Amino acid sequence: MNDATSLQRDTTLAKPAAPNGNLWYRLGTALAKGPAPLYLPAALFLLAFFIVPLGYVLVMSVTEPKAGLGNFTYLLSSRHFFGVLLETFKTAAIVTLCSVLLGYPLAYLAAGPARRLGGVLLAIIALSFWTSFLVRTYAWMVIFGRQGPLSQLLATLGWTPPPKMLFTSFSATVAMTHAMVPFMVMAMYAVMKRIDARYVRAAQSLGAHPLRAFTTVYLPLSLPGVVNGCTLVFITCLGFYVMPVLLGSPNQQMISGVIGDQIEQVLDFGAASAMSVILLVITVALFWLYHRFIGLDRLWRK
Amino acid sequence: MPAHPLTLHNVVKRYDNLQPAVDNVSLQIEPGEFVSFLGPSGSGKTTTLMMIAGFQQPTSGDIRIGGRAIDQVPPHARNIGVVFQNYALFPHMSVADNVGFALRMRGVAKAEKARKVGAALEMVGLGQLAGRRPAELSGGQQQRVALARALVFEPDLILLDEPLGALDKNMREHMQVELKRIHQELGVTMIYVTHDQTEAMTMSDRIAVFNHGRIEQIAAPQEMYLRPATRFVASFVGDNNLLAATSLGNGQYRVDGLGDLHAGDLALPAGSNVDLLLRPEMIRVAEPGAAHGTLQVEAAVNYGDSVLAIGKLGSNPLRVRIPGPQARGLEAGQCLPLHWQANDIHVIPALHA
Amino acid sequence: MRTLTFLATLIALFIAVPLLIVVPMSFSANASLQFPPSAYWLGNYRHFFSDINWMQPLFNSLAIGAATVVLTLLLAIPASFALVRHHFVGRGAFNLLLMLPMIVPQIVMALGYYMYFGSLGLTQSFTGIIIAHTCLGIPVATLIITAALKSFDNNLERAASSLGATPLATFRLVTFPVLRPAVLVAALFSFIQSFDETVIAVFISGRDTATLPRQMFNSFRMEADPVISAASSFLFIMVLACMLVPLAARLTKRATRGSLPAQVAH
Repeated sequence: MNDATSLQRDTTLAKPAAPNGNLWYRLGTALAKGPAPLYLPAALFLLAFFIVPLGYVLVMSVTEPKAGLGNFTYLLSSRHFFGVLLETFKTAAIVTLCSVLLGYPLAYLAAGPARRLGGVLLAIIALSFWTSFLVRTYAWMVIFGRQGPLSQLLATLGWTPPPKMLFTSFSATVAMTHAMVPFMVMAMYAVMKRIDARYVRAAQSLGAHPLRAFTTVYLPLSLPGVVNGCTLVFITCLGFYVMPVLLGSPNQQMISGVIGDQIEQVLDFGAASAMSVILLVITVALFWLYHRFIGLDRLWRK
Repeated sequence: MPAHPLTLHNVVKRYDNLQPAVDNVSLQIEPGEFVSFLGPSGSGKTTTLMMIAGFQQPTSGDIRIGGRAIDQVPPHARNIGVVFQNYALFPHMSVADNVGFALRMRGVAKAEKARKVGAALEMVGLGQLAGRRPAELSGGQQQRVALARALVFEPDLILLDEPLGALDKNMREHMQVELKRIHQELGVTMIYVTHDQTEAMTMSDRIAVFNHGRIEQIAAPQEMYLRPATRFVASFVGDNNLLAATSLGNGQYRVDGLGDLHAGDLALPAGSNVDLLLRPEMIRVAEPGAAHGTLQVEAAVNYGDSVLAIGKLGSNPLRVRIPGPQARGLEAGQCLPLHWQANDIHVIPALHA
Repeated sequence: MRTLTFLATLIALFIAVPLLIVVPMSFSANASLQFPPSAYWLGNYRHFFSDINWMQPLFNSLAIGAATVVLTLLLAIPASFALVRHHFVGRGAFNLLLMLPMIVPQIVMALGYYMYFGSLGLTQSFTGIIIAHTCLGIPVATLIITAALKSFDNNLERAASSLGATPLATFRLVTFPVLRPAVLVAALFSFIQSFDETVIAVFISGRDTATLPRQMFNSFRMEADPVISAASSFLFIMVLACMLVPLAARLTKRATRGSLPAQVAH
């Protein structure tokens, strides 16, 4: 059995040297055993640097400029604030609806049969997904600007002088839709990718016209993705700051912009905090509703 | 340092207050033995293996090597080789680095390490694949690398957890032969977990049959085949015919619907419930008149060299394997006179589970 | 089907074209936002790269991004292990805590940080922004790493252990290398997120600690400085490059790996 190339019983290979008193060894074993050293750093960090600031906002809302619910009673009875909330919800709803309408065909093709086209679409979506809001803002400033391509196009079509498009609710909405479509597509794509093509084929083999097969089989199966996307987009729009502020109309602000104004210009932290609390409550309520009926982990599955 | 026997004493593993996964398992494995843990899924065989390896702690009982308790010894200090069902090869390392990993942990010098890795790979027949990555190998090759990795540091004990489960039939049979050869060459103790009774029968020195967390029998394959200790073992190992019977004392047993049989191997007091085991190949076609019983044939399955006659003996289902020449023309509906040796009947007392 | 393709192409154009305007505009010699530009030059870039008011924020963003990545990973990796490998009281609450920064609107956090850091004296400091960005980065990093951990083959660690590796050695030699791709993705995402982050930076970074996004945001609001086109372009290209680097790395790795070996005789 034992020749020079075979394994020979070598007694020096008995138990490996594990210096039990070694500090690294003890650290490694402690980390492997208990979960506390693993979750405490992140937990403490977030508590100290996320929860506490949030707490500041909550506290400020009921203590500035004086203790009590004065900020809330003022805001909730303010017609102006109500208008802001309305504008916010309205814009968010429009953006969400447009994103669904624009995103669904893209997601459908990307997830479905067309291989080449689907790849190209995904690439475009990915490119758009990773583009910063600021870069988009610049692009839309150019497009909607008085010397931009749209103005020129409208002028040649006979509409002179071309209308003001920048710094309106319209430009903000279009830009936000453009920014949200990739999110919507991603959310829908994730669900559509898992729809087995055989379901639709089965429906067709049973006599359903392609459109009918789509509406009765595919559409319902894709709805969870639509719901995911809508939730994500709607909630994001509610809290959207950059694009509405830079591209929107100062007379028709969304709530984030108003809060920003309170911080920077009016310096009314009580009002800003109260508005933030209201925005936060609405956001959390929507997430909770989603969680109640669907489950939050579905939203975060990448 | 000579190798030591592995002893498990009253080992219990309980996850919650329900049925324990391992229920009072005791056994002793001698150095150099090839022992199989055989049983269905969930029988506790893998859990027991994991406790020997140190990946799980027994709830009670102890595990000793050569008298020294190893319960508190962490897995990385137990010096036991383990081969996993899904190979668990490190995907980011080459075959050579995988195999040499244990040596690296032991601080073996480079040249020595290369030599041993080469020898281990030669032993499993993969000498020229040292530079490859696991993803580039076939299932059979990966399994052999996993084996080489586990034996390169010459442990006294190697644990194998259904290592051939993911391979196709041909590869599996080939690997069974290889494993046996390596076992014989190295003389290392091997514990082999499987649910495949053929595998256990062909490879093992002894088999431990697990059921519901307990060992129902530990014996050499032949012994286990001819004289299973319990109904479960009888039905798990080999084709069987189990006839429910009541003992009448003096080696006589009354079988429902058949009459009284004489069984040679065990005489129980009257009144005990037993199963009489009669293996299909122990039964012969009898001359009419010299028959112990008649089989009502319900189906005859032709295997080419033999025919499996399935039917009823009295009210008991029975299967008989008849060599080709004698079975010519056997069909359903016929009556087949049978006889057997009394000594071929094995009595299994009914266990109170 | 053909109408669908036509429709999708139109929509895709809607998505793509605005983005494709940015780079050409950066070469525009016009002072205004005229498109198409009537003349081209490199002046915008020259101004961008030579102006300390742009270069300082760029450098700040890079430094803050790097620090954010390190801190985020240091916190998220152990947290992910705790979530996936251990059962403990409050695991659900911990998971929620980790995901909260994704739920809370950024303006609210900006306000909170403004007041909180204000009382701590951390406004207009690097530390403050790094802390805020780390909070924002933890959710995504955790999601990525927990996903990788869930599909991690635990037998790999058991194998290493049985071969003599201590828990630390197992982590160093087996667990981390196998998780490294996911960790790198998490690092990339965290970096890009920090680099792009605007809202909080606008409110809590100061003049010296301004980030590139803050500088751009203020530029948008104050003056129609053509240099902003170069800045936008730069930001766009940079993030694009960050995303393409791992893609390129994976493609080259596949090329050098070679084809599968011929079956070795058993």
